[in-house]
Amino acid sequence: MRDTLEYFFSFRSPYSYISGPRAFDLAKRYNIELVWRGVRPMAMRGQPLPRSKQFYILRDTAREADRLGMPFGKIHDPLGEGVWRCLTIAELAKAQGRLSEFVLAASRASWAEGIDVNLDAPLRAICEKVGLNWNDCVAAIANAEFRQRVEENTARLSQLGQWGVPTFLFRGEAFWGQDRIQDLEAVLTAAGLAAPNAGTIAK
Amino acid sequence: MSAVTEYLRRAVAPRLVVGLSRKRGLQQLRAAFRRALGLRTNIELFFAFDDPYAAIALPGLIEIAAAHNAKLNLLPLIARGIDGDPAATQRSVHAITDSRRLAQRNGRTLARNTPLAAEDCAFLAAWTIAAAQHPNLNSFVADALAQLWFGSDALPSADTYAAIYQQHIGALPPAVTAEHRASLASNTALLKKLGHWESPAARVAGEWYFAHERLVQIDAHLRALGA
Repeated sequence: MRDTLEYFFSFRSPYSYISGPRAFDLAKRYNIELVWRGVRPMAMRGQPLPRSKQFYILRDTAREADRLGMPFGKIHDPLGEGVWRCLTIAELAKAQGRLSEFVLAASRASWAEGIDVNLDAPLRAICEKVGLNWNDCVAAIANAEFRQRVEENTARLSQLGQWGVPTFLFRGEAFWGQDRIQDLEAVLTAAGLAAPNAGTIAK
Repeated sequence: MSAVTEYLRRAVAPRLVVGLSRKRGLQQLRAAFRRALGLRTNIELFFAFDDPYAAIALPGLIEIAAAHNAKLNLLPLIARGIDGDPAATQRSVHAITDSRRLAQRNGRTLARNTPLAAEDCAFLAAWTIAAAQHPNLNSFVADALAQLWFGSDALPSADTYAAIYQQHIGALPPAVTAEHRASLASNTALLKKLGHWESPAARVAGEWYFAHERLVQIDAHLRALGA
């Protein structure tokens, strides 16, 4: 049976955004099943986020994005319903095998393209570009089961004793931070799981 | 909230923060001006002895400061973090696991498996305040942090660390006083006033970094400033 790698992600987290390409790439380079888990943002689960921390995160993400060669800075904060729309559509995308395409496109839209995902027209363009039917997406946004899944993911993160994103969980060990992927990869390699094109992304 | 206010909050403000952070011209001008006056670049490290990340950060930061002829000022903290943070306990537990991995990157092994309480190390913070002007302060703090996190998992005893203090500072450590406590509280207040909240926070020519995970970036920043 294949090992699972759980990947906790928030559309409101710029660090989640810059982790995305490397995180999904893990499923192409290691014999694992990547289980993406969308969670509610810290600001929507009672975690205090003072202005100094918000500013630090934005400035540090800018430095890290520049280092990684990723676009960043043309921001439209999706906090609130925009986050929920992305989380529920991501569940649909997961079921249809379009998860990485949607997650990467929607998070890039919020953090690098200045797109307001709370508006139908730009969100529809993102969905259709990654191969999702807009009517299915509208139904997904209203899908109570999808929202419940997000609540379960958020509860699981908390049960693990973790709070921030992106967080990865492999064999009971948590790795928090986009800059800890290298430590995670060291563990995956030591576990003998390095294998091109052997992994999958869970539906 | 009006649509304009929403747009300002969600789009304009964060774009401005990021945009301004990428403008380094003023920093470079200030650095050049300081160099012309024969002044060194300042690095301020706000750190807590009960934070394993401080033990990860300091050796590398001392090397970087020396390589760039920058002045490294150590500002110890007792109180740190975000007021009312419900994840504070989880953070301190995770910091141990995470620090163990960061140490392994450099072939080091963390000696502790459980967090230390700030009060257990408060005497070290007070001694750091007492020796603030001593030229060997940074090497004392580096040795004390190394002993604390890489030397043993026992509760820190003043006797053990008094020997380290004496070795670097050349005197017995002083008794902890109310003035030391007041200075430590001032450091926490200064950290917040300057725009940060946690340890180990390095302020490099006015820009903040979490020092344990951004040493490469700090080095690059100093190089970009011509320091």
